[in-house]
Amino acid sequence: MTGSLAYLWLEAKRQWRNREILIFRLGLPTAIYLILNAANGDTPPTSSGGRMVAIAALAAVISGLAAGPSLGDERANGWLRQLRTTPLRPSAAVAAKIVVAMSFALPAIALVAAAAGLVGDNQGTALGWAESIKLVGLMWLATTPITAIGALIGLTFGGEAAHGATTLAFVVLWLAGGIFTPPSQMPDALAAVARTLPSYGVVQIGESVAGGFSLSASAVVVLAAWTVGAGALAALAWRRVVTR
Amino acid sequence: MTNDIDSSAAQTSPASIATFDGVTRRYGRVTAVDGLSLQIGSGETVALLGPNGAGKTTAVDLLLGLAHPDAGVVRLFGGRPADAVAAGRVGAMLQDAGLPQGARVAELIGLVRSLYPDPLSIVDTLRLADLEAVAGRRVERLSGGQRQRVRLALALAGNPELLILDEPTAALDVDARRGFWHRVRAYVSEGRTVLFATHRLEEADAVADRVVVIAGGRLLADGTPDQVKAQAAGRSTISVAAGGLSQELLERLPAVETVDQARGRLTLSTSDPDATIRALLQQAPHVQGLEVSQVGMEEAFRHLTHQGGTP
Repeated sequence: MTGSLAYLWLEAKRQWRNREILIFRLGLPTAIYLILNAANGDTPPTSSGGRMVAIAALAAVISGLAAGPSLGDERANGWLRQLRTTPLRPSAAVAAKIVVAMSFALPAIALVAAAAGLVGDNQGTALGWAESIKLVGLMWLATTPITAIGALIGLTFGGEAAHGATTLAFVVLWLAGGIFTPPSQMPDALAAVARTLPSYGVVQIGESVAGGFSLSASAVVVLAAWTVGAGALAALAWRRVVTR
Repeated sequence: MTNDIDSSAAQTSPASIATFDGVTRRYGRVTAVDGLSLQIGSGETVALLGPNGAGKTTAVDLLLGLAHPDAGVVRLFGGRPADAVAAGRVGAMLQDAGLPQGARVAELIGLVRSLYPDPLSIVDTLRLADLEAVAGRRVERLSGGQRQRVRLALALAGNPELLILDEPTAALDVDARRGFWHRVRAYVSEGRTVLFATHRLEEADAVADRVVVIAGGRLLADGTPDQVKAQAAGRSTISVAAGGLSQELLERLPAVETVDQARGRLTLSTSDPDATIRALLQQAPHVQGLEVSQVGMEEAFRHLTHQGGTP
């Protein structure tokens, strides 16, 4: 156990002091939010959570999928094999990636919410402190299935292929997953797909807090199903990785 | 074709800590390790010598539990390899294993230390691997030689009973190689066991007290460096025109090891050319086109491993 924690600590330090990672995962979503907000301030709200929830969900997707390329690279360069010659429990390497991905998702979502609070979100309603904290916390928990998808990608594809698969997953979740366009404005078939994607679950959770309604049961079901499904597939992929 | 020089030494080693028993491992249609039986005793420094593609890395993977045999049994410290690894009894330096970007040298060593029950101190590890000057440096800012030493440090940091090194000096120049083995010797002088894979005969000769030669996944020779060298270097080839001579006749001559027929000539290898030629001239006085050549050490080693490589 102490070994797993030591590995988690090293993995966290390693990623948190990487400037490119910080800019991409934390800076980029906030910058996108501020730019969009300044660019078309007067468009009517597209959903009750508005732009802030959509971009916070984008931040969740960016950080959540990050385990994919990271695991893929370390499988390709042999570091995971090197770890397997030590007493470290093999699953600790995957667990560390997921936990560190979550450690980025929380501030990434919080920064977008904070930016909305500072500039005064002109879509959706302004939130108080308690609601903001609730929004950030629940959207962060809803990021869990996306980290499972990231781990699944990293364990299924090695090296460059993991980067490609992560980009593909990002584009699908962003464009078809209810972040770029709400399902209500999509063609029916695409909307049906969007409602089953975990990114839309994250959006729905955010909207329910921002709009003051109770949590959407369908969103919770979708998020739980993706967590279990991607988690189980990742576990299967993991077994294939460790036994050659 | 197995030339077992001194199998008794291997079998009677005091405490066998690693055992291959009839181990076969295939990857698709390639048989990487083919019926390998081998024991490594406590305190030995063993070179696993063979050309590229001989099955050395697969043997190392099998020993570490990174690969599983299709047939036969691999035991490490009397149990499953994975259990010995989990218990922290083994440290390994794999071929070309990468390091995680952004980590500092001392952090990686600290991580490995935290995983083993009785690690070396960080000071000793840095000193053994000659890394004191770069302890705080991130791994992506290291030179190739420094990275190699970091990988050695990660294998040593846990203070394992058995150290496994797969082609550890492949990326190093001559001076760096000498320094590397100097450091490994300093570590093993305290009674630890080392198994290293190499394709360099001179490296096996200089470092190991036992050399195991494999090619095509099979054991070809097993003995002290002097014994293996004698087997490789003391070999001569005799070539004669094939006319009227049978391969069987040549195979029965004293000291003959192999006989090959090609392009109208019979070529045999012998460990005692004088005795072979005397007997040959007695039994076939009219033999024509006799040529005798002394095979150099490298060439003989190549010959030895090539034979095993072609089933």
